[in-house]
Amino acid sequence: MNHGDSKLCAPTDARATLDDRDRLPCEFPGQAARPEYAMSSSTRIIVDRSLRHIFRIVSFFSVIALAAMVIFVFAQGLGPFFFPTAPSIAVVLENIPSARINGSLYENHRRAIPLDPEASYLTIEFPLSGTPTRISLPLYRNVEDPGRSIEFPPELQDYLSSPEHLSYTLSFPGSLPGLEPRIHINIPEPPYSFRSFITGREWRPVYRKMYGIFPMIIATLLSALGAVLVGAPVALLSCVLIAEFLPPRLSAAVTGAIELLAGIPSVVYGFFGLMIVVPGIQRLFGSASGSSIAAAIAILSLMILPTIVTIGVTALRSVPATLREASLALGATKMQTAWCVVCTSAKSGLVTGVVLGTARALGETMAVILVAGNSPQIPVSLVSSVRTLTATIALEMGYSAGRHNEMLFSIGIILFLLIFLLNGVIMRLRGKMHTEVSS
Amino acid sequence: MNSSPKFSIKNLNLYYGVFHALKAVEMEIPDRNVTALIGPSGCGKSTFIRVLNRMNDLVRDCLIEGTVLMDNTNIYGPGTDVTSLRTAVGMVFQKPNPFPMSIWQNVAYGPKMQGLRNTAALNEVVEESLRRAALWDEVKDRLKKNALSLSGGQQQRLCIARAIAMQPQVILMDEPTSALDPIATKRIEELMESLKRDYCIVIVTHSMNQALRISDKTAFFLMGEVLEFGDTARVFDDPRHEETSRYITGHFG
Repeated sequence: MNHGDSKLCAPTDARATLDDRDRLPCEFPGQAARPEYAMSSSTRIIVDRSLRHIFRIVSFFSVIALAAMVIFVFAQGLGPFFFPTAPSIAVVLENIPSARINGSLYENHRRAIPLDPEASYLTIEFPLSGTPTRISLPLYRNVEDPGRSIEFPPELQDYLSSPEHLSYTLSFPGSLPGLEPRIHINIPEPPYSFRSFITGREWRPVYRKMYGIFPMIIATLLSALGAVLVGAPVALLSCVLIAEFLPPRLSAAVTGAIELLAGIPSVVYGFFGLMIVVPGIQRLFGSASGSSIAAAIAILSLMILPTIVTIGVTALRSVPATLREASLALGATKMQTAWCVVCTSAKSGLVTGVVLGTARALGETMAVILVAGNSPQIPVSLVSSVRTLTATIALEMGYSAGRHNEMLFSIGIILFLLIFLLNGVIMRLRGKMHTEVSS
Repeated sequence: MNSSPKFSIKNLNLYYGVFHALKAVEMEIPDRNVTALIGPSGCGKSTFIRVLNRMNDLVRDCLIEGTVLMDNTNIYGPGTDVTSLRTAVGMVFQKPNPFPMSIWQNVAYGPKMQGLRNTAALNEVVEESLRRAALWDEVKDRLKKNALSLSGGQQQRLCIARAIAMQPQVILMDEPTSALDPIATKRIEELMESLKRDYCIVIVTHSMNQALRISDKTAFFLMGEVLEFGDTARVFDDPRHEETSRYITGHFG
């Protein structure tokens, strides 16, 4: 009908899309003969068109959500690699009502006072127990180690403390305990090198300002890999059993049970792991604590089962029955048919299942936090306590501030990249499977 | 005509649950002949052909009574190895159903499953089978290509090659040409003509002309019963039953 429409009413354009065609508000000549109950073409066109717009808007939500997430994470997470934490050194005065810093007077100032980035010295004049005091500190720019950009003379060393890297506090004896005058000097952290972010082995974000996530990348990859190595074979064998060998009722029951497993909140898995798996590993390996990469692998392999099984069973069931018949009619056994025909035909579905399972293992947070021990170190054995990338974000987002906070987003970027990579693998494998025999 | 029949079916009754699908079927199917099964849809032809290689075993609630002798052995007797029966009785289905693998793998599948691992031997089997199925010249340069890239007629001949590769004694064909165009159909019919020198062929068909052209014996099924069975020429020229004559002349069905 659409075809007739376009021929009659529009210049025949071979490239006219379906869109263009049914936008033409004209009636087919056979119109008069149409039954009474039929909608008029214009109604149908309006309905179709509005439905299409609704579809478009609704489906764009997911695209917009994804784009927003990517933009947000990247915007937050890329900062530390390009910009210093502040343009210049900043001073914070505590219990000093009035002071003159580099000539400007500050009264009852509680917020950070940024210095002129070009300044080559820092002078602070303030009354200490009634006596005017003057501190003068030379500043150096463009030094390798930003911690050396300020020089404290020997007579100040007694008052000096450095609770965190790049942050100095001068505390002077005051009239009342707890109300000592203090001067905090914060030196900006320079842009962090992406390389030391990826390959750095120390994650000490608060005191040392070190943001090396290499141990966490390793822990994440190893626990996901371990989970897939343990979980995928179990899951795939279950798929074949469920789809090929179990009688329909039992198969439905088992599928239902496994789907239920998929619905259990991950914190419950973690709880189970904490109460059962962790003590078990402790006893088995005789280690001090059972919270380890082994426990994480055990729980993750359990968690990816439903993902792989659900997708795998669907893939196996969608293999046409005629192929099974063909194989059986050739004198193959049921087992041979299951492996050589059904699994081969459903290969791409099975791979999809495994890859999605891997993605789940990579992204799992809560259960891992509960069982993995959470020390950011490179695992040396199965009982090493480890911390994954996602666990770091979840554990530290609550209290992190400044660059530390941004670095958690940078970890998010790394997770994004891992998932992109995994998706790339899935696409390549699928493409390969479609072309492998025809090449 | 050969003296001893390939299949000799005695008092065969088949039930799907409570449905009585085949009623007291008696038939002797000769070797090295084409036997055509005709009849209206749902009359039990396909069910019957699936009795011969026990494909009905896969159907739940399927009950079979009676004896089916193949070379004087009851294939429904105790101790029958169904898989080896199926290697001896090949089957070609209504819709071409090649495996989603390469052409070579499709033909080599059966022998491989029987344990043939030698690549040279497999190559030989593949070539021989494809030649017999009149497909070799068309595909010899692309044996590694996906079988699904072939045309429908080629796919069906590939399925025949796949069946031949098992060196069966019998080939069952369940409406093998119903999904094909006339030219592909003609090629398959010619193929059957040449294959019947070595094999016992049983074919289900909805085309009276096809039955007339290629078969030596014809059985007319109606409501699960074999109403008429005899030489094709006799059945078509001089049907004993009115239903047969009405069916083959196209008055019902």
